[in-house]
Amino acid sequence: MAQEAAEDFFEKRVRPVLLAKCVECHGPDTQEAGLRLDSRASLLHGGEQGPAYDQANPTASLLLRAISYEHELKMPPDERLPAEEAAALREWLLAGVPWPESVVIGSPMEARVLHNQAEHWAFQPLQRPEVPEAEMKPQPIDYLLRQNLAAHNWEPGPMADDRTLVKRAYFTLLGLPPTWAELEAYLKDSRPDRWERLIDDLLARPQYGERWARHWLDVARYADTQGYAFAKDRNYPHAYTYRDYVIEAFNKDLPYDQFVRHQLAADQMDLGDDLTPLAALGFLTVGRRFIDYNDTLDDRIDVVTRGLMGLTVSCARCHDHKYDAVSMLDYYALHGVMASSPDADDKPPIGPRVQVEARRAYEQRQRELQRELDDFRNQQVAAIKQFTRDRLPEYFVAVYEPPAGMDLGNKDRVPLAAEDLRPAMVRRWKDRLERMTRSRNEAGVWFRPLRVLMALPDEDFESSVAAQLQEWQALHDQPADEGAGTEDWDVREETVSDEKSGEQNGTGETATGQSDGANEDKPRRRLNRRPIAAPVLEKLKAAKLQSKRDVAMFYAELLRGVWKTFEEHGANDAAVLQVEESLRFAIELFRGDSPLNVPADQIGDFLADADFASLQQKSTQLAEHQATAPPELPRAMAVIDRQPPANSYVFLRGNPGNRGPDATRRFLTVLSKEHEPYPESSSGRRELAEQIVSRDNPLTARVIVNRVWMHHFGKPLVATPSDFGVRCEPPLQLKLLDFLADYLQRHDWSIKSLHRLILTSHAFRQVSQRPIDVVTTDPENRYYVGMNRRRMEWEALRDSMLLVAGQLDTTSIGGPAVDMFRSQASNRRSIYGTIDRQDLPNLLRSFDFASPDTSIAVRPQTTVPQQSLFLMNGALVQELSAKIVANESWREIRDPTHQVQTLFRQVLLRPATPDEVEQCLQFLAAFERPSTEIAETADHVDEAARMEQQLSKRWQMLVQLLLMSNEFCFVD
Amino acid sequence: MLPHGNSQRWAGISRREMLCRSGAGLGFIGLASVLGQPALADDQGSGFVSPLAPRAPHFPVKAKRVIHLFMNGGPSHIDTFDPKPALQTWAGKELPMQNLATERRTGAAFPSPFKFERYGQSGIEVSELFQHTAKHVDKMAVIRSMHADVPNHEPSLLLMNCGDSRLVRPSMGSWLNYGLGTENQNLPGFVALCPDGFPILETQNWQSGFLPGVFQGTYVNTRHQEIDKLIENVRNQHLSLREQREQLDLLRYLNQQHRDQRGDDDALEARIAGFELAYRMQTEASDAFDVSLEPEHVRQRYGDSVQARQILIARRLIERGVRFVQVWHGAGQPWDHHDDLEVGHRNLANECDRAIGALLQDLEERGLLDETLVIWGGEFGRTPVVELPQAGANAGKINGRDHNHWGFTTWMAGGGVKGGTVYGSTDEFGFKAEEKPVHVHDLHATILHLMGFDHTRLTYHFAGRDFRLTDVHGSVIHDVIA
Repeated sequence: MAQEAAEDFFEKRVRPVLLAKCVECHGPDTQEAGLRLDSRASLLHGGEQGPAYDQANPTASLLLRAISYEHELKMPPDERLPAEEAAALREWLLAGVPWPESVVIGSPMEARVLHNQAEHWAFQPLQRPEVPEAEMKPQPIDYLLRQNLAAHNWEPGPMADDRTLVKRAYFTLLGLPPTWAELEAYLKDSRPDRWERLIDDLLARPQYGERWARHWLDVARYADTQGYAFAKDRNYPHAYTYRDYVIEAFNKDLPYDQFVRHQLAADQMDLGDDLTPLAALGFLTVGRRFIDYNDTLDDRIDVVTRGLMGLTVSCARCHDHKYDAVSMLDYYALHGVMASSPDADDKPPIGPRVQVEARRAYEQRQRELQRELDDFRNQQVAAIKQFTRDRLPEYFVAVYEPPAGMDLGNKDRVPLAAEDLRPAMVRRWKDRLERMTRSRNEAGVWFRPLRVLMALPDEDFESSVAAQLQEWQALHDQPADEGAGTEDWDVREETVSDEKSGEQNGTGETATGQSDGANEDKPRRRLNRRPIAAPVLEKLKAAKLQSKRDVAMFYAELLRGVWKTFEEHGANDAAVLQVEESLRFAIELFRGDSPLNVPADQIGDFLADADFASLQQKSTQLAEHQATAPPELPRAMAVIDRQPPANSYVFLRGNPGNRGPDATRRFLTVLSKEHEPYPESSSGRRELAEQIVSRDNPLTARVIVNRVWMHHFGKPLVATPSDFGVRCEPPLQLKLLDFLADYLQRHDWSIKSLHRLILTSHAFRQVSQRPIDVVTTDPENRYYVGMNRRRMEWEALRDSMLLVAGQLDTTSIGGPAVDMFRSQASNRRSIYGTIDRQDLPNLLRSFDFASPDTSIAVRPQTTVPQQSLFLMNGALVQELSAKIVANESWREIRDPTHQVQTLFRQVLLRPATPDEVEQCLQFLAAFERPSTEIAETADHVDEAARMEQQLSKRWQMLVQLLLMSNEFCFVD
Repeated sequence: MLPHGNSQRWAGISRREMLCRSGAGLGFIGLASVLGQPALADDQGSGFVSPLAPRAPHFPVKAKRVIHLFMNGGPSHIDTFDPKPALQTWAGKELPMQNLATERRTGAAFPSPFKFERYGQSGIEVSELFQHTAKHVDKMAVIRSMHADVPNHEPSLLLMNCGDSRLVRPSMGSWLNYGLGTENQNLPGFVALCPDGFPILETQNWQSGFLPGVFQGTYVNTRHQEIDKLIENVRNQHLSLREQREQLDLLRYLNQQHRDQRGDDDALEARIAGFELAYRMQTEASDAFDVSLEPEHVRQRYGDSVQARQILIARRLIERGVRFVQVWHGAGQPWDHHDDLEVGHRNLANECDRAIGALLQDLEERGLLDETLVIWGGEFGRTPVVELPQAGANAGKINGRDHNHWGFTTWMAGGGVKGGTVYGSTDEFGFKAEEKPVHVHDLHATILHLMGFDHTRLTYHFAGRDFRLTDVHGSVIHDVIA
C-alpha cells in the first residue's frame, strides 16, 4: 500500500475497530495481560504472552490468531469480530501494521463518540418522515399519530366541544381564560375558519408573549437576585430586561435560531439599529452567583447545554460523562469559552442605537470629567496632608493661640496664599485634640498634658510646667483607688472642668478633685484622678519644655515619629507591632478619619486661591455636561469577550488545583464534524451559537419542539426534555418529533408557525376523556388518543383569578420586577413578580414554581394542603371575591338566581344547572340569623343592615369557592 | 431512583397507573418499588399518592424522626464536650505544635474557662455549660473527631446541611422527606425553627435543591407566638370554622359534579382531598405550635425562654409525626465567639442547656426517644488557641476562639444510637481530629443509616445523573449505632 492509502486504510477501517473493540481493555485505562493496543510501539512490544504482532511471520501473529478464534486465546472475548472487521485487521496485519506516525488511539471516550454519532437516535440527522401530500393539508400531526394507533386498533378521540376548545386555546396561548363575551362571540361566529382566526387573534396579543416567556424562564433559571450575598445588595436590578426581551421575542416571533444567537452572543453580532437584543445575554448571567467562580461558570455551561441541546455536559466536570460521549476536554473547552466571557462591569444601555450611542457618549465623557475632578481633588488631599504634616507644630500652636487675623469661628472660605495655615485644618485639629485630650483611653493619657500645658500662663512658663509635671508624678506614684478608669471618664470631666474650675485655675486636673471635692460625688473625683502614664511623664520631663511652642513641637514630633515607623514598615499590620504599644492609637491619627485626611468633597476650603479656581472650573465643567444628559436607558446584564480570551485546562477530579491538559476552546466533539478550535481573538460564543443552531446539529430543533409540544399537551414527547443523552430512549413518537423539528427549521424557526400547526391538529382538539381500555394500556397517553387534562400552574391560576375579578392589568407590558408574593398586592401578571432565589416565597414553592437555581425542564406537579390554605385563607382570593361582589351592575341585578347565573358565567364560563342554582341559594340563605329574642329588641334598621352584611359575606364566600373549584383550576 | 427526574407528576399517580406502569415494564421505578409500598395519604380512599405519604426505608429501623439542634456559628468543642486539660499547661504560651490554618490569625493556648465533670454511668466528661444536657450523657454518642473542609461559615453550613459546600443540593431534611414522606399530612414534613430571622445563608440551609419544592423545609420564626405568624394562611381572618365548613361542603358538591362528568381522574381527586386536609390542618397545626397546651410542669421543666419554647415546639411537632425538625439557635451566627467567648458561650448555653436536657428526658418518658434521633452540633468547632486581634475582624479583645473545621464535636442521642459512647478524638489540644476521624459525609451516611437508608442507594436522578446526600463519599460509623 502506498503510505497515504495505508494511513487512510488505518483511519477508516482499523482504528475504529481497535477503538471500539480492543482499547477499552488494552489501552490507557486498563492493560489486560499487560497488553496495550493504542499505539504501534505497544502493539509491537506486546504483553505477557509476547508480541501481538510477529514481524517475521505476520500470519502467525498472536493478534491475528486471537481474532480469528483459532487460538485458545479468543478476542474479543464476548463475541467474535464481524467478518468485515476481522478481514480489515487481517489485511492490515499482513501489510505490516501500517500506523500513521505518533497516532495514539485515545480512551474509550473516543469510541463512545463514534458509537454515539453512529447509533444514538438523538444524534442522528432529522429524518423527515414521509407524509403523503393528501395528508399534509388536513394535518400531518394527526397522520403521524395515526400510524401508531393502528397496532392497537385505536381511533383518535372525538372532537371536544367549542366551549372547551376556546378555553383550552386561551389557556395554552395566553395562560388566561376568555371572558364570557369573548367566548360568546366565538360561539356565535359561523365562519368556517373561526378556529384559525381565533388562533391568529390570540397569537397577536401581548399576553401570548408573557405566557410563553415564562415557560422559557424556567429553562433559563431566571431570578431577580443573585443568591446569597453577605452584607451586600443581592438584587439584579437589570434582570428584568432579559425577561422583557424574552417576552418581546415570543411576541414578534423572533426566529428561534436568532433567539439562541442573541442569548449567547448578542454582543458579538451586528444588531443593526436596535441594541435591545443585548439584554438577551441575561440568559448567561441571571443564574445564581457562587463563592467559587467556577461554579458560576458551571451553571452557565449547564444552562447552555441542557437548556438548548438537551445534553448534560456538566456531568463531565469532574470526570468524563458516565454515559454520554462528553469528555472532560469537552467540558473545559466550554469552560474556556465562558471564562473568556466575563460580565460587563458597565451594564450597557439598550434601546435604539442612536439613543444608546448618545447615552454611551454622554457617560463616557461624564466618566472622564468625573475622573479629572476626582484626580484633582485627590492630589490636593494628598498635598494638604503633606503640607499639614510639615507644619504640624504651627497647627498645634494655632489650635490654642490662633495667629492674628485667623477667625476660627468663621466657617466660610477665606482667601488663602499657598503658604498660609488653613483655618479649616486648624479647626479639624482643634476638634480632634479636644476629644483626645479628654479621652479616657490611651489617647487621653498621652495627650491630656497638651491641653493642660497650653493653658498655663506664659509667664514663668518653665516653672509652671515643672510644677505641673511634679503634681502628675505625685498622682502617678499614689496608686489609683478601686475601679479607676472604668467609668465614663471624659464626659464627666468635661461637664465639670469646662464649666468652672478646670480651665480657670489652669490645670483642670487636681483642682477638680480638690476644690470641688466637697460637692462632688465620689466616682467623679476618682475618675478625674486617672494618672498620666509614666512613659509620658518621662518623655515630657526629658523634653525640657520652655514655651508653648515647645509643647506643640513635642507633640507634633511624637506623632511624626510614630507615623514614620508606620510608613517605613509599609501600611500593614506588622507595622503596628513596631510601634510602642501604648502609642498605637496614634496610627489612627494617620489613616482613616485622621484630621490630615480631608474628605475629597470638602477640599475646596483648604485650597490656596489658584487651586481653588481650578477646582471651580472643573466642577462647573462637569455640572454643565451633566445638564446635557440624554434620558437614562434600561440596561442589559451583558457579558463581553475578555481580551485576550484564554483556554482553560482540565481540572482533574474537578479540582482547579489539580492541573490536567489544556482544553482548547471548541465545540463538543460528539456534535462536530471538524474539530476546529475557536478563533484566538474571541471567546468563541459566536461560533458556539452558530454550531448550536446549525442544521447539522439535530438536537437543538428536537429539543425546542419537544418543549413547545409539552406546553400544548401537558406532556412532552421525549420524557426528559433537557436530557437527550444515551440514557434517553427513542420516544414512541420519534417520527412526529422529527417532523416538527424539520417543520420548524423549514418555517424559518418560527415558533408561531409551530403553534398554528399544533393547534389546528385534531390531536389538540380531542376531548380530554379516554376510553378505559386505552387508559389501562396507555396510562401516560403516549398515543394521544385524547387530550390531557391540565392543571393551571401558579402563574395561570393567579392571573386567571385576577382576570375574572376584572383586576388584571393587561395593558402594561414589561418593566422592573414588582413585589407581589409577600405583602404587597399587585394587579400585574405573575411573570412580573420579583423572584428572590435566595428566599423564594413559600407561596411559590408550595405551588410548584420552577426552582430558579437550575435550568428546569418540567415543573413537578404536587398537591399539598398549603395550596388549599392559600386559596381558603390567603388575602388575595378573599380580596378578589370581595371585588367581584362589590361590582355595582352585578349588585343591581337583585334577583338571586340571576345573580348566581352571572357569577357562574363570569368565573366558570358556563351557566349553572338548576340543581347548582338551588344549592347555591340554600348556601346563601344559610347564614346565622339572630335569635328572635334579640331580633325583637334590636333596632330594626340595624338589623336590616346586619342581614345585608351577612348576605354580602355569603356571596363573597360563594365567589371564593367558585375560584377554588376544580372546574376553575383545570383545563379540559 | 426516578427515571425521569423532575418530570413525574407526583400526586395523581393512581394505584392503577402505578401498577400499569411497573407491570408494563416501562421502566417506571417509583418510590413504591424502591422504598416499599407507599401508604395512601388520603383517608377518603381516592387513588392519589401524596408526595409526602409515609414510605418505608430500605431496611427496618427504630428511628422515625429527627430533631437537629443546630448551634449555628460554631460552638467550641473544647468548652463543651471535648475536655483538654493539656491546654492548662500551655496557657498563654504557644502550643508545641504549629497552629493549624483557620480563618484568622491565632496565638497562644487558651484553656477552657469552664469546669468539666464526669456524668452518668459512662462517666463522659462534659463542661458546666451543658450540665443539664450532661445528665443524659448515657443516651448519647459523642463524636469527638468530626471534621469538615474549610474554616468558613457559609461552605460549612452548606456541607453540614446539604452535603456539598458550594453547589445547590437538597438538604438532609429534604432527602429524608423524599425518602420517608411524613407521618402527619396535616403538618409540613420538614420544619426549620429559628427565632428572629434567618441563620447565615438563610433558606439555603433547608433547601430542596432539585427535589420537588414540597420537600423543602418550612421556616417558622419562633419569636412569634401567634399561630398565623407561625404558619402562612393557617387561619381565616373572616370566616368561622363553621362557615368555612359550609363553604367547603358546597365546594365539594361542585367538585363532585365536575368529576362525575369527567370520569376517574386522580388529579381531580387529589385536589378535592387537598381542601379537606387543609381544613383539618388549620386546627392541628395551631395545636402543634401552641405550647400553652402543655401542662405547667412540662413547661417549667423546659424553662421560660425562646429556646425553651422552640425546643418544646420541636417535641410537639415530632410527636405529631413531623419527620425532620431543625432547631436553630438564632438568626445570624450566635455561637461565633471571636471575642468574649467565656461570656458569650455561657449566655448561649444558659439559654438552651436546660431545655435540651428537658427534651431528652421528656422524649424518654413519653417512649419517643427510641424513635427520635436527636443531633446536636454546629457547622464546625473552635480553636484551642486564642484569636489574635485584627482590625475589622474582631474587637481585638484576645479572649475568643477562631473557627475550627479540623476537629469538633457532634453528639447524637436516641433513635438507635449507642448511648454512653465516645467516638474518636482530637489531638491532645483539641485542634484536629486524630483518632477515627469522622467527616461530615460520614455523619450523613450514619444518620441515613439510623433512619433506615443505605446512603449510596437513596438517590435522585436529575440533569443526567443520580445524586445522593453523600455524593461519592461517606462511610457509616457502626460503632455509634446500638
